[in-house]
Amino acid sequence: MKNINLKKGVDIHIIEAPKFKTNLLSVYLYIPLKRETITKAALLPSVLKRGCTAYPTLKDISCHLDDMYSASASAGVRTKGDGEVLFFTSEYISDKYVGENLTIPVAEFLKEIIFSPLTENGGFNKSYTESEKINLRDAIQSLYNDKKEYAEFKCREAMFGKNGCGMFEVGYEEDLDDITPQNLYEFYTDVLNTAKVDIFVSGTANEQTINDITRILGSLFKPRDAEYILPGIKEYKRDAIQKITEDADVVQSKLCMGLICNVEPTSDEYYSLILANSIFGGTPFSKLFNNVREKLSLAYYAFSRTARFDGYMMISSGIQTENYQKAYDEIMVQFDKMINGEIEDSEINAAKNYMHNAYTAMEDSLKRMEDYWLSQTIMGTNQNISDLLNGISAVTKDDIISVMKKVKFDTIYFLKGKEAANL
Amino acid sequence: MNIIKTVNSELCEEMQYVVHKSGLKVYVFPKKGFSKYYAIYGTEYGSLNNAFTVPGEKEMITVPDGIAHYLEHKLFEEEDGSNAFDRFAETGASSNAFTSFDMTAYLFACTDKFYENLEILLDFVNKPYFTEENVAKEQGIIGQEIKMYDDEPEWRVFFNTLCAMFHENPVKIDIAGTVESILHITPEVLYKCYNTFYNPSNMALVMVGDININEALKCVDKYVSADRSLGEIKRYTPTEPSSRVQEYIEENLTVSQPMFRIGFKDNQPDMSGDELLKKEIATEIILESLFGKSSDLYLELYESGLINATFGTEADIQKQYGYTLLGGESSNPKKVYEIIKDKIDYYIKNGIPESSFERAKKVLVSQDIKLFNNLEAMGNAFIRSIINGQNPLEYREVVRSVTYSDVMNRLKTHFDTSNCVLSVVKSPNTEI
Repeated sequence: MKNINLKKGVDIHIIEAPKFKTNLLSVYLYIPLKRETITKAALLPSVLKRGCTAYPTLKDISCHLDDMYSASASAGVRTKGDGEVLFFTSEYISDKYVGENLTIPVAEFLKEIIFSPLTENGGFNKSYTESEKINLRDAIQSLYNDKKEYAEFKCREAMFGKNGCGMFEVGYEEDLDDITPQNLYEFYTDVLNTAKVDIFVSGTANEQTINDITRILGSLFKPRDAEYILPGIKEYKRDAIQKITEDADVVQSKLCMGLICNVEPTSDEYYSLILANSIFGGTPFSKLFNNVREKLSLAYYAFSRTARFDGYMMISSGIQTENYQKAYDEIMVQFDKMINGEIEDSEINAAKNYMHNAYTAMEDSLKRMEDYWLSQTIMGTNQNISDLLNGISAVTKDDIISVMKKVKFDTIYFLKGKEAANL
Repeated sequence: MNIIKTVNSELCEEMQYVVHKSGLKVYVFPKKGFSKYYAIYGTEYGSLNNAFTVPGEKEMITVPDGIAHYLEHKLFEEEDGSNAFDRFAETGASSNAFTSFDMTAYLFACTDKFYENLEILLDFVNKPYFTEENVAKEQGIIGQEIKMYDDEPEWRVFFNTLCAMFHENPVKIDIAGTVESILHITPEVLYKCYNTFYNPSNMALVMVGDININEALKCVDKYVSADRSLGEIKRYTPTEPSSRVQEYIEENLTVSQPMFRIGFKDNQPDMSGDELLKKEIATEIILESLFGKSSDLYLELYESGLINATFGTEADIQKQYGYTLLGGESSNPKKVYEIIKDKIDYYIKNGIPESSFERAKKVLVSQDIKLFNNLEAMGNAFIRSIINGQNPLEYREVVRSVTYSDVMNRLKTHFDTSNCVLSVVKSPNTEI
């Protein structure tokens, strides 16, 4: 990846990968993740996507994208540790396959969406704002439709409260009434003027491409004092494990366990953690898969996962209500095996091979490459994939045991369905 | 064996193809410069095929619902009690499998040791090992899989639509079966299904990546024997009346907003190859031009708040079944249903605008170019085309060959507003 600092707080990053048939052009605006602004941030992209001065309706936007050989356009938010990014992305076909240059029109299009939204009376278009508030309310409520996601989120919320990764990035219903076209616009103006800006160009890019994008998009952002919030360690603060049960009118119960990792996300210890997670529950050859599912037939899914910025591990499983204790006990047995070092060399090698494949395969996806480099940029680590793989290869069994010893059970959340007898 | 190579110079893509002496169709789509390799090995056998004649026998048998999917799970089992996932673990590949209405497929992706992984794939799929004990063990796992789907409103609203459309076609039966039906699955009946449908001439192996087809064929030789060709497969397909079963179907589940699907059943069965593909493309063009984001109708429904960003369309048009669905979330699904029916009747009478037709074709060709960015998506789409008797590199040619009158004919025959259905899932206390 190549970086060019355009001005203070505004950078352009180039990922050259001409093997793809498409290019990706993205603008990321990084802001702190805060309870006070999370709902506004979630609402913004929906309002901006409805229309702009040049393309005032959904139909105008969509027809214009179709004309650019079905270029895609998306806008949304993604959390990154204690921050979140508001993103605008377009994927479009490279010159070679359509016989014309699409970079300029796509950059012009993003410019219109970002810088020329529909406004009135010092705010966004009222009808768009109000109808997207209704849609956001629906989206927030729809979390409950997917019981696995719901249970995992409730566990996460119980762990951290309504801050950091305990928050729901889709926003909160109770905030919606206070959002007006004016205060939302004010918030957006502030984001545009103060957020850290990262523009990514991926695919086939030459000097001309970079110059065009800099001229069209980069030039419109003013210099700013903007910095990322470095992800810190999440420390374990509980005296005893928190246990929560919620009754639900469902056939399958969901057992979620949230653990605090106590690992610095930017440190080398993170490599030990992802390997430990692969062995414990992150793969179809893991201890959880082989025992909770294959050996005891208690679940169709039983896994654990951890993410770099989050600082926590989530164990998630769908079980029959009566099997709660059996599943709970088996998960604990497998966790103890990790801590006691009952780990075969073959398991460690398998996890290393798995990670090697997973990270190498990332280079075959523009979107995943871009997200990887965005995270690296935010963390300030700027480590390429081969460095990361070297870090993973160097991990020993002792490293895995000692990192697992730092991982502590924080919250057990049980979404309790009906008992078999009552079905 | 004669390896046939074809090149699409517009796309800069190549296809290599051979029929192995066992009857297995073997394809390679070379992708130089990519780190990944992908292989998908599938049989034209899915949840639909619940009645058939075992080769060499006379009587037709009917097997328990959900057995194709059960078989997919059990093939991973190895004789020593381990499973194929453990073998892929040694090489670092990620593997998986899926069962659909008319296909079961096993797959892996890796960045290293491709031929070693290919051998594992070919080995475990060609080496069934079913015992009373290991078959019984799977009931708990699949039972939980079924129950997980019972709680998923998206899945329920989808399957209910099929039940409202189809009288006899087994497409209306849940792919995994029921907690009750899977109790009747035994090793004996699993072997019957396996021996009938896991016949090389009923299967295809599709590989994507920087792969040498001759090396891959050496692996095939090792695990797929030429004398495995088991003769003709006799599938029993019930006759499906063209009418719908019921116009409206509803289920109560706790959901934030009512979910709906509008379904149109395909009443022009028994097509394959380019004829089938043209029918599918004509359907896609209609969906894109009448209900896509560039359409007047989408704008009207969205701006009136009747639909939100969850609205989408889907056409699943195959040899043994076909349907088109439109849906998403709405506070008033019945109103959306009426508006959509009116709009279809309007376009049947007045014709689809020529400009929308042209735009939709351009969109389909552009989407086809993008497909070649993703090795897994290529493999999954192409094994489907191959089973249907289509050439994956010629999709754009077929799109270009679809005429305006093909599309208008398809609109009149398939989008029959007196034979469509509405399926709704809503919360028990919600009135719609």
